[in-house]
Amino acid sequence: MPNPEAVTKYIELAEKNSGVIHIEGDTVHIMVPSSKLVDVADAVFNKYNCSFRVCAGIDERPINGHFSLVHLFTDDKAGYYVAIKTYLSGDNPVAPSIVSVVPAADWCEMEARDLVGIEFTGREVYKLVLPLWWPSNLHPLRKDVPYNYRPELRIESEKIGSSSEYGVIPLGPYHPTLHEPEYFELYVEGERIVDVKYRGFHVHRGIEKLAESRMSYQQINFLAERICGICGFVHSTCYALAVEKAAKLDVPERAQFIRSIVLEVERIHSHLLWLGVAFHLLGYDAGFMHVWRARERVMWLAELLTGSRKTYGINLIGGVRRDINEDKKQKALEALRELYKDFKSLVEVALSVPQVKRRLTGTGVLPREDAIKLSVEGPTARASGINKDARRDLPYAAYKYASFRVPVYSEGDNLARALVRVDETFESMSIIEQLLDKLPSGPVLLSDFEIPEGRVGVQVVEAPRGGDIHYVVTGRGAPYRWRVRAPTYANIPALRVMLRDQPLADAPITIASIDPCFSCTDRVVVVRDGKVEKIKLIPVV
Amino acid sequence: MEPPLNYILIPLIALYATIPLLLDGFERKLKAALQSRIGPPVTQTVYDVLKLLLVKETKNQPTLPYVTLTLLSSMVMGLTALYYATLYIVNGDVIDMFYALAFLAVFTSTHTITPLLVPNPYSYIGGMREVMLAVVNEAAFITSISLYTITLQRILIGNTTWILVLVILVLALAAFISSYATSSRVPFDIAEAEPELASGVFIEFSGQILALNIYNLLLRRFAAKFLVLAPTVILISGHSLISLILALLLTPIIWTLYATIAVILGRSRVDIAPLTLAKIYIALFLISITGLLVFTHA
Repeated sequence: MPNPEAVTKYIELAEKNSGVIHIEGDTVHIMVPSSKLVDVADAVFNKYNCSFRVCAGIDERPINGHFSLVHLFTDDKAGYYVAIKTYLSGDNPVAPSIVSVVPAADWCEMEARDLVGIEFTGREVYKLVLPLWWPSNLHPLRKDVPYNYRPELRIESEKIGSSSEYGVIPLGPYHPTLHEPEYFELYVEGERIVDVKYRGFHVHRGIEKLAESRMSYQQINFLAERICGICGFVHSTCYALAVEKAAKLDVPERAQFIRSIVLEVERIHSHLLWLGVAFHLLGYDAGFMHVWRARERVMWLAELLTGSRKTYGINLIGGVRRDINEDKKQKALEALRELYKDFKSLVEVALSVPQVKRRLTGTGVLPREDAIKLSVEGPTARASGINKDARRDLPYAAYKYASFRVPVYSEGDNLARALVRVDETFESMSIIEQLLDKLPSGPVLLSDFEIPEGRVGVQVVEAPRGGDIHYVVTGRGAPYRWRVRAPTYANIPALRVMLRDQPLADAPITIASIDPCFSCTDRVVVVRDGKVEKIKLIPVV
Repeated sequence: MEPPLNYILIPLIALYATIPLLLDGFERKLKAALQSRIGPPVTQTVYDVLKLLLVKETKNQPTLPYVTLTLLSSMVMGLTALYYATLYIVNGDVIDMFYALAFLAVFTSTHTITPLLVPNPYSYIGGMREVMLAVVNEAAFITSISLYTITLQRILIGNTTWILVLVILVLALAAFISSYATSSRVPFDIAEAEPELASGVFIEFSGQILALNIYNLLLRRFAAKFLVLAPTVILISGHSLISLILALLLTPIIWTLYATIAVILGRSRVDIAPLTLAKIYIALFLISITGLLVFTHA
């Protein structure tokens, strides 16, 4: 539960910076003039050690004639969300960049520039989400842009970089290592990577615009689940929880238990999938096949509990639409016991294979300081010694009823990230058993409720890849603004640190070690110091 | 050449040319079984190669004629190596064994450099990885089998001492390790299978050239095993047709053993594999040379 004493410092911070503060449940809203934004963000991030999650640009002109920019942090120790909001001119929205004090805000600022048209001062700007040919005065998330407006298409290829000093190895957009279209350009000296360029956002689907323009609150649950093929239930839960928080709905406890159980089933599935892919990338195909065989049991379990092997579609605002009866409960417990035995023996063998151990150990290291600066998420953060997990720090659904350990390793290498996932898989099995055992009786769905306009809900759900965040401003029949940020969005920038000076052969496993989900993320750019020609470099850490 | 061998030589070469495809099919089936899969039929590799042979090249690289020529000549070298190894097994002339090794060395070298003939960064890096590994491994392969054969001759003429037996065992170990490494299986498939290179050495090949490349790889696997077995079977049943039959029977067993090892291991890295192999070979050669010196001066 949030610690009320912790808000004192935020009250003082708001007063000191001519801001206005109000606290609603577990969220501290601080409104500051744009001239004070950098100072406040600096204090929250660097002094109070909050995690930066994302920022969102909002076109509020139809309501109050202004644009606004919200920076979302979480105080993981105190259990609070901290939303720092500033209003900007409706005619010429310009905000000071906080990248100099919060490096992790790089992408979201550029996304707000592309999609909402907010300009940023005090930083280098570039196109992140939109293609290079996109008209410069067309910002799709502005309310006066129809959702179905299509600018005239102009095909412009981006050229592969060149270097007189180094070899250039293109990785993607279509490549056996990448299961989704993303583009890495690896600059190599012999077999060693000296520089990396990243270009993403090939499959930006505009789902925020679609939801705000064409869909109702309940329909968006199903759209949210389609953000990702692996952690879709995380997105739909996160969205539902954010709306429920904004509307102050008292969701039945049984529904919250079912959500947590299914979230953990999804986590086990995702981690097993990742382990299989990791073994495959390391040439250990026997591990790949056997882990995926074990994963099949998890998909059976998901089908038993939700009716679907994947994309479960059971979340609604107000609860869930599928219950778990006694028969399913017993079958699920039996399946978990089998899975535990199978997975334990598999992992013990797989992680002792010499080549697997050797190639995971000491490769793709992300030092703790860099992980903090970049506000990385999930196993990527926990493998670098950052002890954060939203299930424990910002409890939601029914996690407060379960006892579990948050695995943390300090090495920051590929092995540490693998071990975090292995440990978490065992913890997830334990959480499901506990929650099935304590499953309370009662309804699973609220029958009658209203969602008032103009409320704000922000929610982090710990996805298999890290904290997934949904920010909702309620509107009439649908969110006025819905901002989604998947964990991979926060983790990709760390790849430039992890890939530096690594052997080329370890690039695939290092990229895979953050368990990237590009379709969730879809976004952006570059890496490191000098020398490479025709590459735009952005100093980050 | 002994009269019986004259009659069976052509069918024998045809068998050598065909059996690697079937053994690879068997390996795929075995791997599938060990990985809880059903896997393709044993004849699948034959179908794959036949199908590729009927497909045209999709890229028109100017160097592809040279690649085809290189692959065809290396295939002939591989079959010639097997021919001389057969002569050695049946007739017992050590010179035949050295011819076999020489042809195998040329076969492996030409096959190794093939990807370097294609202008593509993946091919270059993959090709250079093959070369890195070959520099260490092929030298060890030739050396170990040469010493193995020579030492074996001493035993065959009756010089059996425990030192010589130890040397033979150590050299046999080196020969089997190098024949495993030259077969480009896990953990030594650092060029063909590394995903960052999009299959590296194969990336620019399609249709008939890809079929030839795959075929040469399988032939290389077969030849490497057969040449290690050639002196080994002589130790059991002397120079005779029975030894040849024994070698042909043992090859699938060794193939199975290698395939099983490949299932339980992961892939190494270009900066680790050659170095590890070099350390192992140096240790084994030091032991065997010391043993031979002790035997000579005893």
